Amino acid sequence: MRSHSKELTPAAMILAGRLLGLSLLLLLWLREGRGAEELLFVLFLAVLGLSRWRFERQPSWTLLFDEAACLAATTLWPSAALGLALPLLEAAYAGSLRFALPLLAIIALQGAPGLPLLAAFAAALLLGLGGRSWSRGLESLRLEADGERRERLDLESLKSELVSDNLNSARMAGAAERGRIARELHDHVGYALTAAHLALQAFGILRQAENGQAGDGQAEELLAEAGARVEQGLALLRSTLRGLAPEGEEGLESFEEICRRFAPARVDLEVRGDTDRIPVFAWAVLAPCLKEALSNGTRHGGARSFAVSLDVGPSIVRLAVRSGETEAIAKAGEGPVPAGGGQGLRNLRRRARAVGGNVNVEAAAGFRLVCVLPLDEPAGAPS
Amino acid sequence: MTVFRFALRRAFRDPLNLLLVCALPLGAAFLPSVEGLGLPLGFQMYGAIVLFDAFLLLRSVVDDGVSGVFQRIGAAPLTPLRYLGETLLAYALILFVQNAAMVGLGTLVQGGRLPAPPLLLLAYTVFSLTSLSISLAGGALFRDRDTAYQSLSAFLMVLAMIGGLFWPLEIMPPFLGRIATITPCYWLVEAVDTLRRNGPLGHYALSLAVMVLFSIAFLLVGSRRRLV
Repeated sequence: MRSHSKELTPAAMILAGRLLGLSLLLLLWLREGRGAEELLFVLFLAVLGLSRWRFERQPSWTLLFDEAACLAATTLWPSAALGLALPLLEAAYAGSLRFALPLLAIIALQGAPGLPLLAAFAAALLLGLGGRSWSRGLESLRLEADGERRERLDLESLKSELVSDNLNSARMAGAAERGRIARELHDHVGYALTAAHLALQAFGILRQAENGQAGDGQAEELLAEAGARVEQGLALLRSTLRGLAPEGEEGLESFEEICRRFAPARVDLEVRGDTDRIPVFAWAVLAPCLKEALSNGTRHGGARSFAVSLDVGPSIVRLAVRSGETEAIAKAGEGPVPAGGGQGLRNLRRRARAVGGNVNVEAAAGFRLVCVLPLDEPAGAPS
Repeated sequence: MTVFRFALRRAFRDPLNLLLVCALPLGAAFLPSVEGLGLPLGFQMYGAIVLFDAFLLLRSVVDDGVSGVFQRIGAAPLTPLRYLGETLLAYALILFVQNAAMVGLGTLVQGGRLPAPPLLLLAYTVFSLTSLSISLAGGALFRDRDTAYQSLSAFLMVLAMIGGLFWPLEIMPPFLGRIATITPCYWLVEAVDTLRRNGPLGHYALSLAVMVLFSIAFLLVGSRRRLV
């Protein structure tokens, strides 16, 4: 992995500029044999420069401290004017050249500046402006990269949603088509076959009544065979219809069946609203929810009765299962519902979340499970 | 002040620290005067002892940087600056107690040969802070523990020699004597010498001010430790 800390950055370049300036000032101090006061000035400039490196984004007006120190030091040590290059460097880097204006006044006080001073100022200005330009370029690139990263994330999220929607649509389309075929067969083919079967039976009875005796043996045989074939066709049709219906997702009927067949406790089911609006995939979540609630409420809460309500609203379907009277739990190891639910409840939560809903379980006072799933708004409903 | 208490306990967990931070300095107080040196020998070299004591104490911070403690602090409800501040405060307190014991014992043993004990204690205390900050800054420059120890101890030895903590600056070549002025050790020697010569207090205060500014500069460098 590439280490970014070792890369040369504008801040590192400016720090190098600061250290170079301070080193030159220190060499000058050594060369001229100055005393403690002048060293104090150099150290003060060093502390200010290092504090800007250590604590970034200091206000630009703090540069006035550097300039004041330089101004004070020039009264003792004329070469201290070279130290003004440091605040000039900082001002150019921070883009606050107005704070370098007092430098002009200081230079004016000193008279005509020498070539070393002008050279130091020019170098500091160029380094500061170069560092600023570099820093702004990097910032712009960073912002651009951030924007692209954000867009990529958005696209990935959208792709995931589309895949999920696609799967849901395919599942729903399959279920709807099977339902439609089952209805068609039941309503039309089944009706026609039933009518034919009844007609054949009626024909046999009438013929027997008119003749008063057994008829032609071959005709009777053919009639019986036709009746048997129609009957077989009807049986085959019923069997096909059962096969076409979604397995375990039969809707309200299966719901009622679960409630009716739950032997350990009495279950009272109350249904409100138009259950035809509940999509097949929602039934695939609601039915396991009901089973899990009844099973958990009995096993962990010792419930002897349950009140189940299924409410279909304009935009949600809500299943609530509440335990009624309870009995003491006798079986060892069957304590209260664990916090957060067991594996079954966790799976149900995941399934509910996958279709945009949620499952809540409360076991503090009795057992209570609420599952809420979103529904498509009915056509023409106010949003 | 949990970190402060922890740092105090941690400093004395190592028997070497106990020996060098407590016994050695107190033994130095009994060393006699040597002709040619203004101060008793123990006090002449005491600056070097403080310098190395600070390094010994700050080894734990260097270890923290290497062992990833700073990264864990990044995930704890504690800022690295506070951790560092309380640790340095604890070590500064240890060095202050050591300085006070040294000066107190020296006053008893050496008597009048020790100039202005309170001001001497102040000078040693300021130099203790400078020593701590030098070791902190040095430790922050290295990623590897052994390299940090070796390089820092060598650097401190050179600093003490050039700064005049082992012998008088007068016996060194003039250009080295001039270079010595940019080391903090020189300013400790200068401050103590001013006291010994009964020189102007302003000069003594200037020496302390230089050491304080050195401390701040090194602290700024040492406190900017990268987390990763």
